[in-house]
Amino acid sequence: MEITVAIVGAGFMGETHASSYAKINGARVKYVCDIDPEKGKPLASSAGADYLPDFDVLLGREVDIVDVCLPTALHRPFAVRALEEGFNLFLEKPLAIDMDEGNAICNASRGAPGLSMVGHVLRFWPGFTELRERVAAGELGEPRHVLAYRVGPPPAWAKWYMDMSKSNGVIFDLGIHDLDFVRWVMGTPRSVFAQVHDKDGVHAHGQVLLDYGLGEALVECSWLGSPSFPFTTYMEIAGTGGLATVDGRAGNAFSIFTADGSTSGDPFHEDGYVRELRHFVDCVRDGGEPVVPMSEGLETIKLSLSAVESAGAGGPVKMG
Amino acid sequence: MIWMEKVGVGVISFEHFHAMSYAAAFNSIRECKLVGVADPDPGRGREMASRYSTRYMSVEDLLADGSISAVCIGSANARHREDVGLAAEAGKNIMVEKPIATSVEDARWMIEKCRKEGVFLQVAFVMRYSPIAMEAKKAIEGGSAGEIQAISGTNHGSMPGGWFVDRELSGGGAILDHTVHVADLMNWYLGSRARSVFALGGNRLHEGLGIDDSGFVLVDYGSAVGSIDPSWSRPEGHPIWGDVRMRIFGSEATIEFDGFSQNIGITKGGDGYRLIGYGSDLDLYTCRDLVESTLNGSRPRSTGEDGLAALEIALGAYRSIESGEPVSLPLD
Repeated sequence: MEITVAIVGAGFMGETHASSYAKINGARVKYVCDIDPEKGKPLASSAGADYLPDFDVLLGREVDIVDVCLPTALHRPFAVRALEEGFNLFLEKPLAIDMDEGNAICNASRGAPGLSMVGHVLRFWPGFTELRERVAAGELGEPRHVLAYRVGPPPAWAKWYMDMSKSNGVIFDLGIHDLDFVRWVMGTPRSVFAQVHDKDGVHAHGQVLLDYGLGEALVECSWLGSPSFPFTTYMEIAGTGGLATVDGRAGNAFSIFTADGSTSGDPFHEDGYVRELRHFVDCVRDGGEPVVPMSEGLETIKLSLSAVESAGAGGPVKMG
Repeated sequence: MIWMEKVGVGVISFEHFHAMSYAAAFNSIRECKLVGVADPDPGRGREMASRYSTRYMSVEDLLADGSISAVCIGSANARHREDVGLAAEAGKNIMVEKPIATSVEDARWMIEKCRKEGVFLQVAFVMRYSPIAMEAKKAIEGGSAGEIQAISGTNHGSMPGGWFVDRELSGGGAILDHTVHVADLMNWYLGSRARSVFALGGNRLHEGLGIDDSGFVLVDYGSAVGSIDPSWSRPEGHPIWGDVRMRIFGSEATIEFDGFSQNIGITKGGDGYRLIGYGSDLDLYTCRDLVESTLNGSRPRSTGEDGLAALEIALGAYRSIESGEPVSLPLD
C-alpha cells in the first residue's frame, strides 16, 4: 500500500523531507503546499507532486500524511487543523513556539484519529542511536557526564531564524536537538542554566548546563561559525564504567573527489531524516506507535524554553 | 649577551610528574645548567638527580647556592606558597607548576612576595607556549578574527590519583587541575577578566574518589561567553591521556585547535591502541621562557597575576557548585 504525503512549507526542511521521502519505498509526495509559488512550484515539480497554494484546499484532498515544515511560530494553526481533519501529522521540531501553542497541539493530538510525531531527528541519527543503545544497555555504567556540541554558520536559507519572536534563538532551534536527545537518554534534569551571546538581539550562541544531581550535561550550540566553517556535531557520554564518543566529522564511508572540484559522499548512507520519516510511514501503514509523540515534543520545548528563560534571568531555572 | 655564562637552574620537588619533563628540558637548553634538584622524598630526589645527571641537594642548600638564579617548583599545589616564599627570599626567579595555589589569599601573597623580593613569578601555563595556541593569539591580536564572541574548550584527562585526589594537598580535583589551563587561554585571548562563573560537577565517574572528577564550567566575560569541560573522563585504556581543544568564535573567523592531535598510533600486545605524540614540546618552550627571561631580565609570558586570574575561575566554579548560583568575579 502506497502512503501519500503532503509537505506543507517548501523551505529548507520541506526540501529535506521531500528528498528523504524519495528514498523511502512505498511513500510518495503527492502535494507540496506553500503560499509562495516561487518556492512551492519548483519543489513540487522536483518531487513529482502537485503544487497547492492553499492549505484549505489541501485539507479537502485525499492524502495519508500531512508533513508540516513551516517556521516554528506557524505550527499551531496548521498542526491543529490537520489533526482535526483526521490526517496523520508529521510535525517538524520544535513542536511549537511556546507552551500555550504546544499544549494546543498536544491536546488536539489526543483522541485525534490520525497518528502524530515530532521530528526530533537525533533519535534516528546513525551514531546517536548506537550511543543511546549502548548507554541503555549499561555499557558505560551509570551515565554521568554528557558533552554536546552543535555548531555552525548561521542558517542562510531563511530570515525568520534571526527573529527571537519567530525562532526563540539558537538554543530553541538548534540546541533543542541535543536537549531532546539528552532528555531521552538521561531524563528530565532538576534544573537548567544557560548563557548566550546575542547578535543583533538574537541568541546566536548558547551554552546550556543541565543539572542531574549526580551528573550534568553541557549542550553548546552556535550560529556564530564563519561561512566556511563546517557544520559540526559532537557528543560524548562518560559514565561510571566508561566513555563513549560520537563525532559528526567522522564516519564518512565513501567519497568521490572529481576533477571539477565537486565531491560527493556515501551513496548508501541513510541519514536520520530518512529513518525518522520511514518510521512514521511504517507506523501509518502498519498501525504502529510513533516513538516521538506530541507529548515528548512538549517536554522538550519545556526544557528548551527553560534554558532560554535562564539565559535571560542570569540564574538557573528549576524544572517542575 | 654572554653565552659563556649559563643560567643555573634548580628543581624543587618532583611531586608533580611534570617536573620530570621540566628537568629533562633544562638539560636540553644550551643557555642553562641544571645545578641540582631537591625533593621532600630523598629517595626520589636522588633517583631524579641521577636520571637528569645532576646533584641531589636539600632545599636549603639549593636555595643557598649562588650559582642558581632560577628555580622550578613542582611541589603539590598546597605547598606552592611555602616553596615560592622561600625561593623568593633567596632571590631566585621562579617558575611554579599550575595551579598557582589552592587559595586566592595564597596566590596574592606569592605575587606580592615575589614583587617585594624583586624576582619574577612564572606560572607553568604550558598551553601559552603551544605554537598553535600562539597562532590563535596572533589571529586575535592582529584583528583577523574580529570580535571574540564565544569560546569553548576542553581539557580532558585521565584520573591521576596520588596527591591530586587528596584535597589537603591539591586543593581540588579535576575542576581545579584542568580548568586553569583553559581559563588561562580564554583570559589570554580575550585580554579581559571574567565577570562571573557558573559550574556543575563533583565526584561522578570514579566511585568513592572523594573529590571532583568531572564537571562543566561556564564563564561570562560580558563581551563573550566561555565553556570549559575539565573532566578526568578518559578511562584507563583510552588511547591518549587527554586533550586540550578549543573553538573560538570571532566575528570574522572561527578558529579551532587540538593541542594534542599530532600522534602516531601504536598497537601492541595487550596494551591495546595507544596514541604517541610527536607534536611540539611545550614543556621545553615553557622552561626556555624561564631561562631567557632570567638572562634578559624580562617578564615571562605567563605570570603570577595570570595564575591568580585562572585560579579565581576554578575556585569560583567550586563556590558556584556549592551555592547553585553564578558567582561574581573577582572573588572577595
